[in-house]
Amino acid sequence: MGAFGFSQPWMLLLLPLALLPLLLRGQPAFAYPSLQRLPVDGLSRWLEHAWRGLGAIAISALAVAMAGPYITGKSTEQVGHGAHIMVVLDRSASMNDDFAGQRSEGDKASKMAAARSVLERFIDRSRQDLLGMVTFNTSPIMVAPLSGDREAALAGLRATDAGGVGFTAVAKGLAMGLDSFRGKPVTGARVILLVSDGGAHLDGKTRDLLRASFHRQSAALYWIYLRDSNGGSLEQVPEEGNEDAYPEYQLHTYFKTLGVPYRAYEAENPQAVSAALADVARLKNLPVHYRVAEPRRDVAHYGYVLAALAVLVLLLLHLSEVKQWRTT
Amino acid sequence: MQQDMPSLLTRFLRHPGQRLRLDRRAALLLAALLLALICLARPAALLPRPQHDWFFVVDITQSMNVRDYGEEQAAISRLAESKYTLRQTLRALPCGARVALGLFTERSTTPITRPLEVCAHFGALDETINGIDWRMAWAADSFITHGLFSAIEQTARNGAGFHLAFFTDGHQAPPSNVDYLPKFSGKPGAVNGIIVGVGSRQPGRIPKLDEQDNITGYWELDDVMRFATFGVSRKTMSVQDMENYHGRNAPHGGNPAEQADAHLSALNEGALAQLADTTGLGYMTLTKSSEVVSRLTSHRMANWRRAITDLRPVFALPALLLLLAFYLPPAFFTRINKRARSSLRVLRPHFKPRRIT
Amino acid sequence: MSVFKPDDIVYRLDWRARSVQPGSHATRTPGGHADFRGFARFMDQPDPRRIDMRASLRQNPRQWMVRQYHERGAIVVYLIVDLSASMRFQGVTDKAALLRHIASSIAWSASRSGDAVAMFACDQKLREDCRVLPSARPGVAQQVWQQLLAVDTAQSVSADSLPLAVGQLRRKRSLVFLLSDFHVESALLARTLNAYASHDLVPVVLWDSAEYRQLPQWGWGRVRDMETGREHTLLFRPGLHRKISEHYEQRRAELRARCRAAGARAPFFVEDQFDAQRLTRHLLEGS
Repeated sequence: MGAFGFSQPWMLLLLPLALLPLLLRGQPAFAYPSLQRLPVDGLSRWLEHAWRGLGAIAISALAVAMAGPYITGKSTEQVGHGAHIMVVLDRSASMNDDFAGQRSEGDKASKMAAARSVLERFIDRSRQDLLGMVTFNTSPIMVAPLSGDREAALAGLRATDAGGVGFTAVAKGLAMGLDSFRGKPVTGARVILLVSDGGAHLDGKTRDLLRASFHRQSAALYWIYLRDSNGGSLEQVPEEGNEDAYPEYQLHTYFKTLGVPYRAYEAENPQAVSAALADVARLKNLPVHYRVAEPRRDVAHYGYVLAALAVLVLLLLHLSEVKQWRTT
Repeated sequence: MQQDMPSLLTRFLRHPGQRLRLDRRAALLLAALLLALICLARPAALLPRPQHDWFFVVDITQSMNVRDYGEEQAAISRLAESKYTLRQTLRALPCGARVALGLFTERSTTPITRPLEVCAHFGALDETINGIDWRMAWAADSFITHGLFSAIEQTARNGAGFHLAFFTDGHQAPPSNVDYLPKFSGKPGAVNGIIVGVGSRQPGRIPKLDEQDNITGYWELDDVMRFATFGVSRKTMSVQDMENYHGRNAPHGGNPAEQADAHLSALNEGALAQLADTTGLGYMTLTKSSEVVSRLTSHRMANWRRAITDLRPVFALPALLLLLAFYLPPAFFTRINKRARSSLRVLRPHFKPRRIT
Repeated sequence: MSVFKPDDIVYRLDWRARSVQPGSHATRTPGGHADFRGFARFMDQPDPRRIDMRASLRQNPRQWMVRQYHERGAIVVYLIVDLSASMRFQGVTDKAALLRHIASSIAWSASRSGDAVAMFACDQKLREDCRVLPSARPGVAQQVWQQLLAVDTAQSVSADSLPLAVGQLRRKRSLVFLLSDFHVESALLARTLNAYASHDLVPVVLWDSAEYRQLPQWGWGRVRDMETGREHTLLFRPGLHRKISEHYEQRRAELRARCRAAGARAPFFVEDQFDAQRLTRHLLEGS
């Protein structure tokens, strides 16, 4: 997608002015009786062309530079340290329910709001890590690709204030999160940071697929569990025969069987976030090189350099111009 | 006569102590050179200037998978063309522009990112747009009117002055009852922007895609809902129609008028233009992405904000004019002066501009 | 040269003029007693004062012979002056002033030797306002000087009317000084030389050393043709200096050859300064 463009193309209207140095005659000159008497001199003719050409070059270079040329489609290599974290954020309708944890403000906040504040803190502090974000309800949406750009992740996070809709398709969200590791070199810890209330049942096939995927990407799973007012704690073993009422517990037990490092945090207190952060910080990573598409690159500079050079040579030429035929 | 030193440069080189006195035209060049050198230092300042604030919303319903862009063999879907256009726009937007993204399916527009500055977050935005996929749709229905109104509502939440660009083919599925469409409650034109109609006017079959985006089949007439089932029919029913009529279960009669081409999808320009009209948005059809890019990056679609402004043209333009003045024959200026003053000077065009002493 | 201070030159004709005015040149007019022409029979010219005894005795059959003579007559000296734009060149000297000086010197000398003087000035057309009709008045040289001083050549461009001036001349062979820089097209030069072929044409070539010798040493400069207005850039360096002076030497040789071919006298080259004695020598040697 490499392309060339101008941010102010109307400035190119100045371009025809570059013809003036080539066309204008009548610059200061010595009166001479007859040019017929002068021999044809190649070097002199070349000098004349250079004198006019330099002006045309300088003017057109300035006009083009002022039009703001840029090129797109370049990519740059960046280096990341720390863990690679894909945040998988639940934005299903159930996230609109009230959050059970204590909040200093005292007002009833939704789980979504809680998740936002937890993640904001998390993203703010994970300076060294590569971050990406996937949100999901019935289907997953890639919100921010895995990169060092945490602002993008935050912007995606803030966009969740529109409220949740749909079901909790945890498996699809996790799958997309895992997908973003695909094709990138494994240089260290990969973490899927699931932020969800976990209200989802997974069938057997999905469970197997997910397990395989986690193994293939060798990613760890950290779950920040958001409990609503009537939800149970993950540690609380539900009564016999009543497991289906507590899908989060089932999810928890399934995650434990994944065979990859798994940790669950209950985001009731700020310590949970700190603990998760501390765990992530402990994951040491090799520096990773990855390519990021570059925004359009301003190439006007070259125009100005060319113009300055042309004018400089022109000035030197002008200074070497004979101003008096003879000085006696 | 051996001591003649005609050019200033040689004179200066031989007598460096002597002051190098510049003639007027050399001064012009020197000034132009200084201005060009200033440009090399990339001067910039925080100045109010037109800046783009865009909320891009893309329709990701299945009708957007209709491949009616490009050549027969390598046809590109409406969604892909929209994405391409958006990515091109992203590249064309000057630094300082802010972009928020949203997706539309069913009845609502969901923002996926809040505004990000294009240059600093170009990579993330570009990849996110590239990652937009029809599978992100959380429902299969497509109620354009609802979606658009929701998008307009969302636009304002991104910040003041945000413009909306809504990429859709206008395909309504299932067909809706005209009487039960929502009424636009906002002030037309309060949110500025444009609806970009995607697709061709020729109806195309909506493909069914597998995991690798291969076409496995097409939606057939039997698969889709061919008439609105919601609300009271306005049609005066014949006796035959009345036979299977049921006030609750079949309010449109047993055999209501069907849309014979509900499984086909064409760009519904008329409806979109009408929607644009009621909401005070602009409308344009995406035929060439460069047209849309230039519309989306035009000054008319911008807000005046203080932003880092490249000041190089401020210096480069005088440099250009000085260069022109350098090349203009002195007679040009004499002629102007002559008009201003009296004709004190005898003008002798192209003879004796300088004397040989 | 801003005052009328003519130099004296001497010229001589190598042909007999057809003149009835008394003067110093040999003419074809019989009479007088200066130029011996031959003998005639007394019966044809019965002037006993011119009986030549020795010639009569040499005759066989014997008869009286008388001596015959040609009259000494005055001629009209024409000055054809090139007033084209290139003649305004100011190099080491002001070419217009030099022209004025040479023209008035020739006029002065001609008038002092009793000849009549006429002047016609040419640019793209024959100048009506700058002419001196044939006259032997003593003040004619001053008049030439005045006319050339007063003439306004701002609108002059070329020397196209040089061959036309011949129409103003008498039919009789006359001495014609053509004062020009000879920076003219080859065709115009040919037409000019042909037009004056029936006269005794003395081309006087006015060149300035700044044109081809006194050039800037190093650097570059732009020159503009005074007639066509065309521009040319010159990169001054020893190589170009040599080239230019060679070019002018070639032109000198070419002018000599073409004048000889057209039957005119050898051109007299003036560079910067007019040396009257050199012109005199040139005229006497060439005659």
